[in-house]
Amino acid sequence: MTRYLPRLIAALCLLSGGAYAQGEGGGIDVPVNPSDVALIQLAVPNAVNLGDVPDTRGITEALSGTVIRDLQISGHFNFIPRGAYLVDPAKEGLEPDFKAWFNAGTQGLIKIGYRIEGQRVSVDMRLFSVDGNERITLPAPYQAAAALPVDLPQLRAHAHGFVNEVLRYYTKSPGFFLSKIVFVKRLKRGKAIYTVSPDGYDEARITQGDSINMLPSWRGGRIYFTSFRNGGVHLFTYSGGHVRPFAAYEGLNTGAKLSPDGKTIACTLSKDGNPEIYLLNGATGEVIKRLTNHWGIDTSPTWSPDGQRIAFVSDRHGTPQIWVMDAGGGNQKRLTFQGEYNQTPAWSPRGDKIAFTARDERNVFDIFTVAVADGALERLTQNQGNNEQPSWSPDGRYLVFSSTRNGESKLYITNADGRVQTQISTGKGEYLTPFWQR
Amino acid sequence: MRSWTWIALSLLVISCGGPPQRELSEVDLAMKEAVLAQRCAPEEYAAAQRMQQKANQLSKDGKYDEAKVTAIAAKKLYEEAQKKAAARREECFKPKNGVEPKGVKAFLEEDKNAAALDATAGRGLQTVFFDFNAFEVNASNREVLNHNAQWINARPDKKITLSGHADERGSSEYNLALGEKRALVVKRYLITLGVNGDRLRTMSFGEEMPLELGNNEAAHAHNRRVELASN
Repeated sequence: MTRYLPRLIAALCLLSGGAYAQGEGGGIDVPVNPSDVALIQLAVPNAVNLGDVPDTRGITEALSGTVIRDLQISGHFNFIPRGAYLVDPAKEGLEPDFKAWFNAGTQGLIKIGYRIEGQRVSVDMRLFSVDGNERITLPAPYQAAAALPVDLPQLRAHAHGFVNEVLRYYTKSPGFFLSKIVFVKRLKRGKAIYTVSPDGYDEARITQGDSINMLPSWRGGRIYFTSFRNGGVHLFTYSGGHVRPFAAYEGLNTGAKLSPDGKTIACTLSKDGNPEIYLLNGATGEVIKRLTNHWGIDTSPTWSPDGQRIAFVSDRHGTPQIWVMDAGGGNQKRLTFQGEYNQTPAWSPRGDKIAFTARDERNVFDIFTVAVADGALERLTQNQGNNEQPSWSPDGRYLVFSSTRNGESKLYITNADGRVQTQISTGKGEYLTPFWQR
Repeated sequence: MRSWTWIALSLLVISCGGPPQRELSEVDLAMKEAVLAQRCAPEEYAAAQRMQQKANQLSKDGKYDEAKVTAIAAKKLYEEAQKKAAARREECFKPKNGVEPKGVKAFLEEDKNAAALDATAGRGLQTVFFDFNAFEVNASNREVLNHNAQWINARPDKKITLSGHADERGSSEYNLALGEKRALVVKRYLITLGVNGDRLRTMSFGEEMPLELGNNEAAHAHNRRVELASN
């Protein structure tokens, strides 16, 4: 009898698995289409201590480390290797020998000098055009040295602001490095809401305790999130250091998104017997209107930047797909037709595209965009683990998402065409469902 | 025949892995069901209790696989004790030497749904499982739902919580909606089978409370479920 056991066990395991192969066949089948972009050649030597007080608190790293991380994430630059420098930047000071830097092959040069003076540090951050033989005048506070407290988060913030101006000079559009990203981290017990800078530094925990907190969004100075903390699945807000209940209708209350005008919340409720999308008063949580009415699942609303339309997920045709409707609930139209499992839409701040998570033909999750006008698809990730939950930068030129490409789920930033993808989270644990502050 | 089937089932449980909460709570339900056995088959009932205690202890000691097998065995013992008790029922309730055994009247009063209870005795509320991305009642979960409806209808004083769950794939928000949908569909189906909807409360946990960890289909299949719990 024993020789039949392995087969019997296999058969029973299959039985207990149910008809699991069903409906998992076809997926979305679109390849990544990489574009060639000319990179700017840039030299960024370490920050130089110009004074007599030695740096024992990591000031050099907080300044030049932050600048290099940010510029790398931006994807616009190629860094000249430090071994190719023809002068010693530490000895050169803040006035460059343009010819030596030009011969090292760089177009741009960033020089950072600082001097510790008691409890403060004077920081001078400069951008030079090497091929133009000139210092680029950046707006305040970067046109001259700035006196700052010796506090690493504040020094990093100063460096983020500098990179924003460098990006404005080169790309005509400022960087996003003074914004924050809110996300969920899985803990030993429960899940907590955290915030982090786009370079992965200055992580801060928002929710305490071991309950499950999830699906954060951030707009108008408020973080909205979904939590099991009161025994149901309810909506909460966080601002000024305080968590407050926002909506606790019977059944599900999930995924609050504030409208661009700051007045209305779109979210999913099941109080009328089915998961549907509703508009709530942004101040009181009272229901203004039910937007969807279908026996299937309707969830995950996201606002168009003009506040006139809402994209959402609906499985009313049998599989979850991205749909679009007017903000009043009219004109509900299906937008994605490829793939059988399309979720987590995020409408670009530029208005033209919606990023989403799709399961591809091999049952792997990847990031795509779909053009609102004609439904054209673009693929941003491929062959690198599961990639999920895209959220746009405030300027619509970058996306943050979670990926398992290096094992545990971490946060990554990519530019909108998927060309440069950089891991930003460095802490332990699983990082999930990022949302970029608006 | 019977013995090797049990070995196979035990091995199945081991090979599919996971914590034994489900089995332990099923034994607990079987114990609560075995009221008649406690009275009319006390020795068999006590043996089942000892087995149950052993299962709980094994679980506490972290020996989950052994706990699982022992819990299944304990449940089986309760069921057999209950069957024996049913066979002895008449004799057990008969007045002895003209004296009616103590508490029989009260027992029979409590047991007024005896017929219905017998039909579902030894098998408590059962977890309902679903296909991938599905929330429909179909051939594979209908029998379990029918049993649950019978169980609930036989116990009109109980309130039931229906907890909907999804496997880990897909977005956490969609999975909350999917779990909710599953719980609501189970509620609606139970109502069509005559259960009073006021006794049913639904709740979704989405993908947050997996029964089984692991990124494989066996684990996923166990996690796509609605759990039923009575007060």
